[in-house]
Amino acid sequence: MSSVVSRRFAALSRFLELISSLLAKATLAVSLLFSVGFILCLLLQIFFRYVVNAPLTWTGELAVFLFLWVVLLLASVGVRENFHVRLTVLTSYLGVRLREAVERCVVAAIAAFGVFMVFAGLRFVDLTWGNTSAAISYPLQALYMAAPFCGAAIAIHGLARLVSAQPLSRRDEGLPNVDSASDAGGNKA
Amino acid sequence: MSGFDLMLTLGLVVLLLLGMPFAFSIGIAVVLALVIAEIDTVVLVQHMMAGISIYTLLAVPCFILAGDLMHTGGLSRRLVVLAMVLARHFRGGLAMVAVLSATFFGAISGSAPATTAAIGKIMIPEMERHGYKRGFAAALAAADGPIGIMIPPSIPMVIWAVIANVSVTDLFLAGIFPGLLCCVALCAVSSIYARVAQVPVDSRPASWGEVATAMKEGIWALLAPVIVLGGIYGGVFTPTEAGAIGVLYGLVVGLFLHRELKLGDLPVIVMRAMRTTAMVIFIVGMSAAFGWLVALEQLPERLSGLILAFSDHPILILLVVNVLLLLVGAVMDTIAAMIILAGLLIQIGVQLGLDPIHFGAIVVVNLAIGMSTPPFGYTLFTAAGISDVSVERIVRYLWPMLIAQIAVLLLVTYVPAVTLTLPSLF
Repeated sequence: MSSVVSRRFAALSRFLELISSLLAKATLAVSLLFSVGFILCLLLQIFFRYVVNAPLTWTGELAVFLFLWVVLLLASVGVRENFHVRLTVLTSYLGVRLREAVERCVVAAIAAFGVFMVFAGLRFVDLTWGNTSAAISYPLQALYMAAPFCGAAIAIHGLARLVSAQPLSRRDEGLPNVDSASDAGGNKA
Repeated sequence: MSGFDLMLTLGLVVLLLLGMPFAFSIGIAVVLALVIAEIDTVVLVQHMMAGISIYTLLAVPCFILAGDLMHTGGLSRRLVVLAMVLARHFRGGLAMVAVLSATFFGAISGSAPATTAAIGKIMIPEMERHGYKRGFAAALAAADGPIGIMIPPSIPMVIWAVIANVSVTDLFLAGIFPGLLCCVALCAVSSIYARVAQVPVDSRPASWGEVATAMKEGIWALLAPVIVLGGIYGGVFTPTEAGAIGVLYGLVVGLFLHRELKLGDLPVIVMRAMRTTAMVIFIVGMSAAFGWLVALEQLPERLSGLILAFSDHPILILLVVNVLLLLVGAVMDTIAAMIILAGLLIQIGVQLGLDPIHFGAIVVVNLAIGMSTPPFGYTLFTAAGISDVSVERIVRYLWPMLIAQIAVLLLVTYVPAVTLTLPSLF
């Protein structure tokens, strides 16, 4: 009986991991596209103002739209890749099992917060329905949908980590960004 | 204190200590406080969205990406070569080269750990080869990092400017002298160390020919700040647009002039910059809701009232602020600390009647130094990572450098002219 339960649990764990990894891949691809997009917007803005001498009105707004989506999409990927910065001063002193338990609770709370973002985000979209942006007058729900969408992604990545068979806590956790430029190829000299 | 206040202060601290990421700690504390206060929780989403969709904040990913592109495109190595011909023949010259390179690199990069990594990777082995202790070289790399965020462009300054509603352009200018002072102070420490540790002077001064070659090689690296910062101060473009120009410049130089950047590496570099951006800006977004809520309850006023009740002497209060920020910066992520404490800090600045640009510079310089203070300092960890020297060992060599930087901080705090002279000229 218990082996059936654990087999089902393992299957669930694998299934959630698959969904989470596919979602992350798609999210990263869209983020890359949007990132290039907002930088191009800013460059176009300068080009049209000085070279063409016909300032564009929509570039700033579109750039902010793309930027917001990139931030929230990658914030959700950060739950999967565990790159969100955090304090480890206290937890690093805990024993291995206690630290693992605390870590599972933290991930569970993050997933719950993701679920909250889905509902609060949808309510916000609903409350602001029909509003349009100032310059392009695109419907603002296209911007605001980022909140519930990324909430869902956070919940999925969180759940996948929560039921993961792998231990969650590592000693060096929470510091990946420290090295953000150190592997950038500066060792050529 | 009500349950609401407790949730936003103690509740937040408990979540942070449990190892909950900053952004989620703030978000969850805000949701719970909203529930206690019976306010519709949808305001969290509303303020988060408003707090992120700010045009000025787009400067953050642009400057991170531009710095990374220029580094990968070989600009930092050329800056080191240039610093080499300028300073290598002094006693402690090679250490001064590291400090000088970091100062040059600071004008390209807006991030402290990136500065430490870029310069440290080149200079630590080089210094060790010439008779410096590896621990000293690593400590110097850690102490160099903060210069990267004092000299514009600067990621923390962009964020502070948005939160405190001051001009990015002015704040950038206010950081130049503090950055240069740190450079001078660390050069002095280097010189003293080289004398005490009897590091040999093994280079003759560079010939004019060598200087000319280094200048020619480094011309694109030197032109970068001229174009990016010159563009801002010449009124050609906004700081945000300047960041995008920096990206374009880094691409052109890396791909076509130095040819050290490969097209295939670009997606990885872009996404690395965007991950860092998302991590920082997500905290900014959550803090927008947090800031609104604490302001609603006048928490910053009450807390600053507590501090000001202790004394209303500006010199003493500023010292308290300095110590508080250094302590907070020593135990937690400095940018996150700055964002969370912003409401309280701004209130103190207002009540002391300080110029907001001067006060912003104090905060950023303080937190910059906090990035290299043990036990929790980003540049410290970065230096340990790239040098394979333990944090404990680095810290042994770091103290004199920290003292030198704190001296600069005191100058910044008590002599407004250090920060305000440049902004008043433009």
